[in-house]
Amino acid sequence: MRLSRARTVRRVGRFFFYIAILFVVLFIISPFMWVVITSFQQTEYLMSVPPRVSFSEFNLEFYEQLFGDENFRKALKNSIIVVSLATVFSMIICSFGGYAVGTFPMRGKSFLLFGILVVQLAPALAFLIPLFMMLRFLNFVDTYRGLVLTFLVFQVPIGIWILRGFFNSIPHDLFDAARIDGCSRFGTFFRVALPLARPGIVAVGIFNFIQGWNDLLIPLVVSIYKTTMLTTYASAFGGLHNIDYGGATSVAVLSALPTIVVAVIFRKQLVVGLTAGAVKG
Amino acid sequence: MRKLLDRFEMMSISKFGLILLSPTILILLVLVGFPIVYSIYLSFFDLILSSPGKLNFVGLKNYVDILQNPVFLNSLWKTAWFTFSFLFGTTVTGMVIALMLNMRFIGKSVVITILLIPWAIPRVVNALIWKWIYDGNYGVLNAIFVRLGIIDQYKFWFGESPLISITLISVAYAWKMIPFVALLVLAALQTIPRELYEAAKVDGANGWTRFWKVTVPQLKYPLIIILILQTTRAIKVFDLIAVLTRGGPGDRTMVTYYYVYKIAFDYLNVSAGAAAAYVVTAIIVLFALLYYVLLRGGED
Repeated sequence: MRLSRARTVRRVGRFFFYIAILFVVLFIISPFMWVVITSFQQTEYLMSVPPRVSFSEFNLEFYEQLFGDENFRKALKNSIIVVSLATVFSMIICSFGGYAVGTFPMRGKSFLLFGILVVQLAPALAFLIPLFMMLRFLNFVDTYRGLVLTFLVFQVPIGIWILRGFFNSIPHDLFDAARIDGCSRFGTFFRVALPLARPGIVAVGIFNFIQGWNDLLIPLVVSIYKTTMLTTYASAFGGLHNIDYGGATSVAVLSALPTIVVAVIFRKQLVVGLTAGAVKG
Repeated sequence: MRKLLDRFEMMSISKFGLILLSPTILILLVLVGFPIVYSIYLSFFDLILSSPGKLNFVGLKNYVDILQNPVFLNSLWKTAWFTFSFLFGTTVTGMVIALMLNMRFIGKSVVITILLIPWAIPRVVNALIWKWIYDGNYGVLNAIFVRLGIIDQYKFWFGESPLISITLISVAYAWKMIPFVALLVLAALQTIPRELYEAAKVDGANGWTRFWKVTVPQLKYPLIIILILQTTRAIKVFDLIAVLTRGGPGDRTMVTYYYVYKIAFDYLNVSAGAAAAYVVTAIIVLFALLYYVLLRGGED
């Protein structure tokens, strides 16, 4: 008798637990789903009170308009090129740097790590102002070079911070063994260290891709016309008055799609990287 | 080529390390170090890009001006409320979600995957989502509130008091960052040794006591890291403001970081912008130190 009562209590508890989980999922998913649904409606539905949606006739009107806009296509292309380049470069630079910081006994290492911490804590605006003037002096404003370089400023420090731990956790004997077997210094790096630190390097790549794709401040400062990126294009739908919600919701969905896909595919590495470096997001 | 490779073999390990680190050091020195030094230098001058002229040394004038600027001072209060509400909301909700995820249940990996979505989307998209929800004419928040009888007619939310506007922006940002807190806390929870709970159970501690005496102390370090990251993040809120309100209407939602951006890149007053940016830096450093002291305090 008492046993079955305990079981009932537990079952009721479970039931409420799942209700709570459902509530969490709804809270997390519904704002974004609402925008996805809106982006497939007709213009007239967007201006109805109370809100009205149709699930039977999904409309591609807003997306057609978006792809018809030359500026959107340009922004999309720029985002893909700039973010890919920055991600690849940062992965290479961070692999070399993280290896040196993580495994070599070097003087001045703590100074370097302090510098990295400064970049993390200092408000980007503090050095974006003179950085912008520098880029202007070099004629790098509104160019891919300028954008990629500026992205690297923010991506490399975080990447080194994450990879340092990964390289550091590789047993040092492995490197010594490789050296004794006649591996050159670069050989040790490419054949031993790099394969073992691969999960970390992948995590850095994913983080930097997501962070680069999501950033607004850098393209807002560095791009003017030729190299505007998707976030700058999307941010133009903001403001307080006369907002074109058809364009806003469809551009929101399209800009979010790549990072969501990457995050879902690489969720394991992401969670690992998140906890390894306690990174910005 | 052969010769070059041989040279790498001969040099000391420190030298080789420096070569591997040279791109990083170059970036840090040229693109971070130099700009920081240069902007500190500029903050003592009167450089305005829109009106070129002779550069005059003005001493601390830019700092004095910014600390007397009413828009800036008001923005500090708004930033403070934004930061506090954001920290409170994300930490409490994130911890509750993490504690739930730390239990065993069906569909857990699906829930974790869904949690990654708000975290992964661009902040600009985050802003557009909530812009549409908060819209004064057709927004779903208005519809829900009218249906629930909380308000009788649609409201233009950002026209309300700054307290309401800022809170709404804070909710929007919290929605995006709660998963980050939840996942970090979850990871920390999973490192707490089971034996600690067993021991507490043996000593007769109930669930509530176990939470406060075992879980919370073990979470102290990760929580402080989270607080540091989230505080800097809240103070540096930019994209959300840029898309949702641009600081308006009037200056009602003008938070500090967005105002600094406006000074530097809209008014092109580089020197004043740099000075304001360093005031913000000082505030962030102060918070970091405060958390650091809190962290150290527990270890003694």
